[in-house]
Amino acid sequence: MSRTDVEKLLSELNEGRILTQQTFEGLDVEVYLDDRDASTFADEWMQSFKRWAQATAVAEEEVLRACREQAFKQTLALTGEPELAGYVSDDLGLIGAALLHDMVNDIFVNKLLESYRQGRLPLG
Amino acid sequence: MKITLLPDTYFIENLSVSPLQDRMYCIFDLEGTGINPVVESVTQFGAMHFQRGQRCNTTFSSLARANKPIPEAVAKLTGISNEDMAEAPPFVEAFQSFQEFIGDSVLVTQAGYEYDLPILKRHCDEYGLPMLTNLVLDTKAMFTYIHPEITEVVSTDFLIRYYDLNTDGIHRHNALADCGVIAGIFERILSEYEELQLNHFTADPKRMMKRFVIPEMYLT
Repeated sequence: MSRTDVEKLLSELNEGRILTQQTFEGLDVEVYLDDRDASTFADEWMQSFKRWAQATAVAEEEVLRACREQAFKQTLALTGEPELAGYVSDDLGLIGAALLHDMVNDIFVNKLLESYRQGRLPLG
Repeated sequence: MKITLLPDTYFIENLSVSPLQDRMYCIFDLEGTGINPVVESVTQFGAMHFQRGQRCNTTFSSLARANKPIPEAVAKLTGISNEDMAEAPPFVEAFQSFQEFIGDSVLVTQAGYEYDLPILKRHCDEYGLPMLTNLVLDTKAMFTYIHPEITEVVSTDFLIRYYDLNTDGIHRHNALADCGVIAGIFERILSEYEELQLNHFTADPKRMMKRFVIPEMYLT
């Protein structure tokens, strides 16, 4: 179930259904990244990262690497912003790691994924 | 440029190199009496000019007299012995020759932000010499920035494997020979930056590099 979910996520990424022009439309990258870092979002993100992605073997999983790589390359291609691309790659890595843990009930991660699926960058 | 070393990671600030393509670089590498830049001493400088897609044959190599003995394991690894040190020029002389060779080129290292630059800075402080002011790129940082999916420590060996570089017949851990290896790595990284349409490298303090782990052999 969990691996299937991550593979589905990778397919959606590869098919260009997660990150699109709409995701980054009208974005002021500097303002967005500042807002992200200054908000409680950053704390919640770090808590989730520690729970699911940090120091766990899942980070080494090939499917997760592929998700992160795709997210980085697609964001860079769509925005030309390597720093933002790093953040989006981190987000998709966190989502994938949580899915690999079969954690469908993590509210924060669910909100993160939902935000991307709705074509907008997560914040708050 | 500012390098902030943390226990397991490091980050850099205040560096921007643009454009990345179509310019002359100077790749450099140092050998030392060991791997810990806080206590070890430089034994060799190696450097070579590099421009992507062009064959640059200008190279520089010099031993530098270390101010401490070379452990046997390190001598075996680098091929530089305590006997070699007796004939080697003093550090100050070797460093001046190195500076003349590199001029004001943008420098390129592999893992130099955590080894070559800190050890050079320490030596400069000890000898009362001004530290290099050249811009310095590190292939480890450049790779890390465009590969957030990679979780391993980005060592030279890792990059050789990643890019499937052929290092047969190359005397690894000789400073000049290692410059050739770094050139191969840098060539591949520049190619990736070109594919990603990135023609600059800008330091981002939020991007952390994983520090190398000092192998057991250096701790005994």
